[in-house]
Amino acid sequence: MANPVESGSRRGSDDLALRPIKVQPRAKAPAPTPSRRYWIGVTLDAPFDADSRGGVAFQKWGESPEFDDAGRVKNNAPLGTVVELTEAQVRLIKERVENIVIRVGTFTGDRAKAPRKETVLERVFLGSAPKYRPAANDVPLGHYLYMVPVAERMPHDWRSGTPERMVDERSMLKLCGASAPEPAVAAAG
Amino acid sequence: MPAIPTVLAGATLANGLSAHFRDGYGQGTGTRQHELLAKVMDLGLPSTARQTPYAYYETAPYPRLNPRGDKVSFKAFASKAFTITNYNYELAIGWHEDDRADDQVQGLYDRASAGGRNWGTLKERFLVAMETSTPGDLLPATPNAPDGATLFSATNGAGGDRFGLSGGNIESGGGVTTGALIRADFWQARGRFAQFQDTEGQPLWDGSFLDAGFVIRYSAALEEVFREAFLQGRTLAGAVTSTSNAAVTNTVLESGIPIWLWPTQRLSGNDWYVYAVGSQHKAVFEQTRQDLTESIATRDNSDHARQTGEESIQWKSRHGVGAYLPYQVVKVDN
Repeated sequence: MANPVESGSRRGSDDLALRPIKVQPRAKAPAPTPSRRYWIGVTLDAPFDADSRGGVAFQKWGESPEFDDAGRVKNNAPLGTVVELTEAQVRLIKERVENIVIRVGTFTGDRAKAPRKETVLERVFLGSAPKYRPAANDVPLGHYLYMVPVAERMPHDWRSGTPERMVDERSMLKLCGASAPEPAVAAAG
Repeated sequence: MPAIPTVLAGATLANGLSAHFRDGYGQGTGTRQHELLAKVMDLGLPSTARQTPYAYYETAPYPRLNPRGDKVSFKAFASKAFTITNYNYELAIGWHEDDRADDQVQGLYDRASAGGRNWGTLKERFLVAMETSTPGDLLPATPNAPDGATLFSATNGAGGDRFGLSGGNIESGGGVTTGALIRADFWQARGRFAQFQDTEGQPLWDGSFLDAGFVIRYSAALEEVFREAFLQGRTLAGAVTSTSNAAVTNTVLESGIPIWLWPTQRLSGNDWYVYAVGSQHKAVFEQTRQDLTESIATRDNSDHARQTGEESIQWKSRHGVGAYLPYQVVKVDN
């Protein structure tokens, strides 16, 4: 039956009826982007305390640790942080981390006399000019980062030590040759 | 006292050496404190003890509707405290008194004295340590900002969006291969400042802050593309053809927003940093417990010099480095 208002017909009861204007959305609202929680962080043996990739910060500790005069951590600051990430964010982080190596050097160029290995840190991008040339002291950034999905059920001590790294040992040795760093630090503090 | 490693002066002792090139690396100008440093870092905050505690208040509440007859609503605000520890920065250079006497280029003492001149780099090195979260040989660890998160973070210490904005003060960049990409990321970074909120969810900054200017720090290896991004007035819109050879203007230049470019060898890779200069307090600060002091050990004042003939010069200063609320800096990561 034609709409009486549109067709111009008038009936006694139509004059009193309210006829609000309605619209029909053209498309359904997009479904929420799937996301889940990840435990992410920087391993304790890294020569840096934090790094951000894909707009997300990886850090050694979830809160500021306290140090004694010798620079050792005194308190039990939680390792890493737990963040909610979408699949797109995870994809971007993986792309960025894969593209970077950390080059640990010294100011003087005299590595034999370097007092500490952490004197200078370079972040070298594999995909950018000038073209990457491997050096003996290159370590993939992913060697110092971890990223673990948080499941419904986790071991009771899941945050008390560094988990597996984003780059496994075999891939790292391929890049680093003989200068592979020490194995991961197993426990906090 | 064990023997000190002395300056290796052997190359300068031969009779008849010309002193023409004695200056060597002494002509380098990299040891000066950079003129832009004070725009991005608070320097020389006074400190009178091993640690200095600081505190600040969060935002005061904003006015709200109070229907007639209702009680006035009270709302409080919180405060935050944080502490910065001072550390010692020291250097000693020793030499044998005979080497100083026989030095044919007469440069040993002058060059040793330059160790003190290198203190001019210390505060920028603090800044780089904080920017890159790389404590190196300057800090035991880089301190978090007082909101509980690291200097650059998408979230604050409580897990919420830092400064009320998803992504906080990190911008996931589009790369540094073209000036256009860098300009786009700059506008995104400025957009972040514009969207930052105070702890009451109200706008943190207005136009006076957003147009006061920005210092942009990046790796010196990227100089060409950054100059193209911020200093080149016109770029071609696309491939030069009969139909697409029109030039597009530089939106940053035309905006009139002051930009200070700061390329530095101390940064590497493709990450870069946008510092807004309109904020009274900077994101990174240095506190000074003790200014640089110099002491010289010779036979006149040192048992060790008398016993061994080894003279030395020493310097010491004491500083702390901290992060304040970093709502005036955005990192563009790539």
